[in-house]
Amino acid sequence: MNNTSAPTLAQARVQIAKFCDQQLFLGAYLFAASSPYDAAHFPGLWEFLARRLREGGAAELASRVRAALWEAGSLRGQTALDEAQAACDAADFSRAVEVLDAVFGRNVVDADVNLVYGLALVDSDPAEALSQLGRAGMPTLKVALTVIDALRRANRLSEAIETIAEAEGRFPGDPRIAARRARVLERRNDWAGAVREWRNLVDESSIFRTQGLSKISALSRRLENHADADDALAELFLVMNQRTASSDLPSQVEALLLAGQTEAVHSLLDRMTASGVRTRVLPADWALVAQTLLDDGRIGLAGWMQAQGLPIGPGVASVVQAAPLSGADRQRMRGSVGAATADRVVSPDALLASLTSPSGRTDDTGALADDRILLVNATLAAGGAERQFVTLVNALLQQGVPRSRIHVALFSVMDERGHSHFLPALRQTGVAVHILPDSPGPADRIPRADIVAALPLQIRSDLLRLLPLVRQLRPGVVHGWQDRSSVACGLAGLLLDTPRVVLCARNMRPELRGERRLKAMRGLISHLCQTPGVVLTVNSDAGARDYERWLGLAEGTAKTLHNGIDFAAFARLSPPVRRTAKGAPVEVLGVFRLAANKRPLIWLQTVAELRRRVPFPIRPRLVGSGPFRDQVERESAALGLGDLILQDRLDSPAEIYGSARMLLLMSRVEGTPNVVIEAQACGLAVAACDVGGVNEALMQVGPGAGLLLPVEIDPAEAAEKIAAWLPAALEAAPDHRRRHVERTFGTAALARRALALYGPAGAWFGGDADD
Amino acid sequence: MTEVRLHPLLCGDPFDPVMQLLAEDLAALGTPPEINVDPDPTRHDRILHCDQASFLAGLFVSPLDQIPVTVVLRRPGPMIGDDGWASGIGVIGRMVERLGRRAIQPTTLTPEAAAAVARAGCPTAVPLALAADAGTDVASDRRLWAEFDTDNGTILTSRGLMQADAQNWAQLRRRLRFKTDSCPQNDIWDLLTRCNSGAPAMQLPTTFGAAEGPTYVAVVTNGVGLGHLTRLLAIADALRAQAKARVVFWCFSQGAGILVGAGYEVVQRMTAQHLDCDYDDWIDWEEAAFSAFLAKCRPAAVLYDSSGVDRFVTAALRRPSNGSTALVLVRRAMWQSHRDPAYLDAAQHTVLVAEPGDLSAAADRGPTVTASPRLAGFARFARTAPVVLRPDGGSLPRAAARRALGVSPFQRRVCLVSLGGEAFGRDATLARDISASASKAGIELIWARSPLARSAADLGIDRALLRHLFPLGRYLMAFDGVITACGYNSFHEAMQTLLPVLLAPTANERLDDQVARASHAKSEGWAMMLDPGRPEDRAGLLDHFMGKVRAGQQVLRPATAMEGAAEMAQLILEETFRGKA
Repeated sequence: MNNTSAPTLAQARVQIAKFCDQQLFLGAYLFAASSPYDAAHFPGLWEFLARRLREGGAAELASRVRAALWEAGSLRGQTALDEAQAACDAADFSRAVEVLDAVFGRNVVDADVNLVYGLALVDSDPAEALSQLGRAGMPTLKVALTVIDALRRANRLSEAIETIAEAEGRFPGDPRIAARRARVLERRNDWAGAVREWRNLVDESSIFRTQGLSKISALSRRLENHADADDALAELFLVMNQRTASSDLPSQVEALLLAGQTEAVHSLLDRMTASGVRTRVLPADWALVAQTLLDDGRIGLAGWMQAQGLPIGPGVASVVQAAPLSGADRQRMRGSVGAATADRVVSPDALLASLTSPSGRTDDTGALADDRILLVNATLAAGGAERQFVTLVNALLQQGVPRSRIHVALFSVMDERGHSHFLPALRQTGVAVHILPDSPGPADRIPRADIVAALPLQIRSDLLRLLPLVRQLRPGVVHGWQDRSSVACGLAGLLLDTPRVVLCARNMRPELRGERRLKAMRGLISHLCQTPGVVLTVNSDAGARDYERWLGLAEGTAKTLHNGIDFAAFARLSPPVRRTAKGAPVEVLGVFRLAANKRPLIWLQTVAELRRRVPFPIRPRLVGSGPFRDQVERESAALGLGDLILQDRLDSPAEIYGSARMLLLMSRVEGTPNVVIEAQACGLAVAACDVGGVNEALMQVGPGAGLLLPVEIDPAEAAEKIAAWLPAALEAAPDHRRRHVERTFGTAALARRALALYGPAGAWFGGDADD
Repeated sequence: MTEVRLHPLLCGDPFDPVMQLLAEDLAALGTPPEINVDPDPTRHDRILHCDQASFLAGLFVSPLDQIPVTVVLRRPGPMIGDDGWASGIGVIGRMVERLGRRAIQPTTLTPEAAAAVARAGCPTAVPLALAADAGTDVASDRRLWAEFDTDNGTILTSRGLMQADAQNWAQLRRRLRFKTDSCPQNDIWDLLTRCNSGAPAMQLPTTFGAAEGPTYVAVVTNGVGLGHLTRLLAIADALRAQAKARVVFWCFSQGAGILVGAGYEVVQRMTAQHLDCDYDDWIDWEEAAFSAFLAKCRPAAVLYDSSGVDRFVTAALRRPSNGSTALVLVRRAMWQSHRDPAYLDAAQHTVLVAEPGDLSAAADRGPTVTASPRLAGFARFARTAPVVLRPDGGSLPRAAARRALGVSPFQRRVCLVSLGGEAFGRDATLARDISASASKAGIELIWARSPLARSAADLGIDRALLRHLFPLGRYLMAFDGVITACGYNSFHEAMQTLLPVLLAPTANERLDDQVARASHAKSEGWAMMLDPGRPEDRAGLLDHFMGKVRAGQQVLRPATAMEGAAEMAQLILEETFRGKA
């Protein structure tokens, strides 16, 4: 350029075009930057430059030019759209929304803008994303996929399925659509359907092979089909073996964690962090690995990677830096030790010492509403625990607790996932129901953010969803129902100085139930239980003692809070004596989830054996759903129980118990099974294995006493015992059973005991002294 | 064209006992494995994973169709987690089904383990057989019986208790036979059973490289004086004399030049203090360097002279490549009575604890006499005669020694002053008092200057009277009297003479109990003593002593043969070289 005379605007434009034609993109940029035509006053020239750079593939320079226009307040039109699109491509959706809001506004009607809006908002505001996409129509596959994603995130799953069907009609054979159907099916708890969908994808498309196999494995595990889960993992590992690319490290670590192979994770990290090897992995991938480990509670490994000088990303680095870890734990994370040593520093265990320190308490001074009770549960799905949750609310109201004092929080009531089964019943009570937001709120004003950020993802996410509500209500009591809610309530209560926190376990220890994630919470739950103001309840004495042993607590630390049932509703079903006409079949009922712990196949085998041993006809009926459904159908056919009545879901006691004469339960693990209590309230004869709280629930003396079977029992032996006991049990008057239930499991007793556990707040409403 | 020799690649946790055993098994087959490096089809003919975790991690490093893979499927136990075990075995079983045994050979340590993994979903696993598994000749099996305590992770032998990770399991297999009756059927049981039947371990290392005899690595710690160095040098000389051994010194002492001068190979090292670095970091670096060094020269044993053993040594010896190397601890007694007896537990890392005898042993009140180690392991304990360095070429006659020291032949009486490595730092007044007393008596002083001593200029000692005298015994005939500190070497060297000796013990916390040693010698009439607690007696004692020197008095002492170094060499050879198991 000539020093003495500046080019005219037109000459500058020509010069830029020349540079770009010659692919001298940096030259074009420097020319513009050093010209007298700045972005603020000559946006047209800069827009021209941005377009030519984008078209030439110089994305980074184009981005700089758009940034200059943004800084100058001159970003507009197509250039603004390009900027928003580029931000979406980089997964920086908040930046995309910022640009779109500033330049176009949300009321814009422009298919291109609406599409980018939809992309940018699909995570943060799916409803608005759908609105934008609705304006964009469905002209392209990209739009269709974005619409489906938005519907999925908005939990409008039926619509998502319909849209998927529509999209498949327009874009047949695209695996991305099928993958979305698999995800929607999974979200609707149709795990078997999702497995089938992923299997098709794995077989037909290479791009979803690793993801599909991971999903098949995880879903098969949930379906308790461990053989298929292992098979999918084997296939996954072999697929990954053929790639053996260092860039796959994040997915390799994820796959090993999914398989529960933590020692292999250590081995892999030891190998990949060795000098000479580590540089094969990109910094972004190291950061992804660190984030995965942190989310899994493996803060020691994340810190160890940092100590090794690996780029773990600023987010993880700041969490590791701020986490209140002991000196000994920091020592275990030094780079020179092996990964296995560093992995002894796990969250939340490594943070517990700080949770007890005085500084672990919030300085938030909001007024406490000491007589306010917040009850928290994950969902209101059709399960015994959820039924008990609603029963407790009713019991408290009947006991005189004012409606205005009871608040209920739920993590999900999504109808399409079956989470709202008892929601109408809960709404009928008139108490305040709070549905917790899907995603955590803003991170400001979080007490002990250093601890919260270092928690495993599931706990962190639950806690962040619950904290704002607890802060807003300032209840005197927070009562968590079941393990997951209890952990969130315990932490929220501790961080916000809630005077009374009640944790509520409803089964035996998690190990017995194969709950891997909960097993890792042992230290935290134990710690919470030893914190002043926190009390653990279990719904049976056996469960309470088992939890105490599991948590290393003194006997008597855990309190028993027996289930309560609406006795009148069941007693109505029970005539004084249920006699069956001679020769009429005796209905043997099973009510349980069709899952491994309930041993449905043993139940069927026992019934088949029983049929051979009693002089009257037996009619088997099973109420329940679950992963063993297919096996139940196959086994019943094989055993000649073709007349088995298998019913998915029944609501009313009359439907469930009305026609039955005997309840049989063959579970390997139980808490306090409601069905045993309810069946006795209906006057049914009950036989069950001696596990968990069955012993406490079952009436065992006097006329009409139930039959307690050993847990390790052969079906033939069980049938022998039942055959000897059943005739007299059927003839016995049901009153004894009903009285037993009324005495021990009435709702008034439940409410009194709960209020006693609530401390001062409970005492106001007549709670018993601590029992 | 040079033939490229392929080696197996051994992968796993380097501190896993199974890895330690397999490394030695493969080496015994003549194919020492490479360990935990990148798989390379041009260098490796197979990959052997010591457990399922290593195998699963290895899947992401090397395609299975390039190098055949053998994996040892382990049962749960202290080293193999229970969580995810069945799933891991199931997954591997499915992979073998898909690819066949040519690509993946699943193996186990024992038939019992094979049955267990078959139940968990991998029915094709068979017990691992290596050609070296010739079986132990039970009749000649002289190994000690041992019991493994799975609850505490310890091993009990007739000689003592040890932590299970105190030594390389290749060493344990060589020396111990395990009772398995009370051990639960798990990975530990498999390990013990494997150890009991291991044949290659029964052969002790032979020679290395050009050396005719065995190789030893002597680690010289950075002591206050030259005691450690001197004893090891004496033992090295004896090993060289008895077995033509090659002894290499791994030396932290500033006296390394003495070793070079004596004709030994020396690897000069720096301590964390020298480098001013974090101790734990230093341990890690030193371990890596020492381990690589041992793997290269494969010595029969590491000789370590100290009261404890540095972590870098024990860790390096546990590396899979170093399973054939034993550890011998040369540990002199006479510790100060308040010394922590826990130091005795270092025995568990060794095959032999050899204690050089002490003429004042009767006065020893330290933990080596009053306490027993909690963790003695299976180490043999032996006490020898005192170890004194024999000068190469023997002691010089009086005239030659005086010539060598530059002492005038006309000087009638000459007294040696040898106050040890700390001498010039501890008491300036002592030097002045000695000089004054000698001057009064007309006795010339020769001051022995330790290679480790600081400058003596500010102590008022005439530099012309300073001499480097190493080894001291070479020059002792030149003198008429000796004033010496009371460290192990100085004391025993002085006690070999008939000269009047004045002992000047130091009460340094870090050193042996010099006061007890000197007191005993005084009570036996072997020497006079300057009690550090009674400085007021010093002038009189010095004058008294100088009078004896001037009079040319001789002192009778017990005629103890100070052949401890030769005894030690014999013991070391017995324990580590074609010797007794």
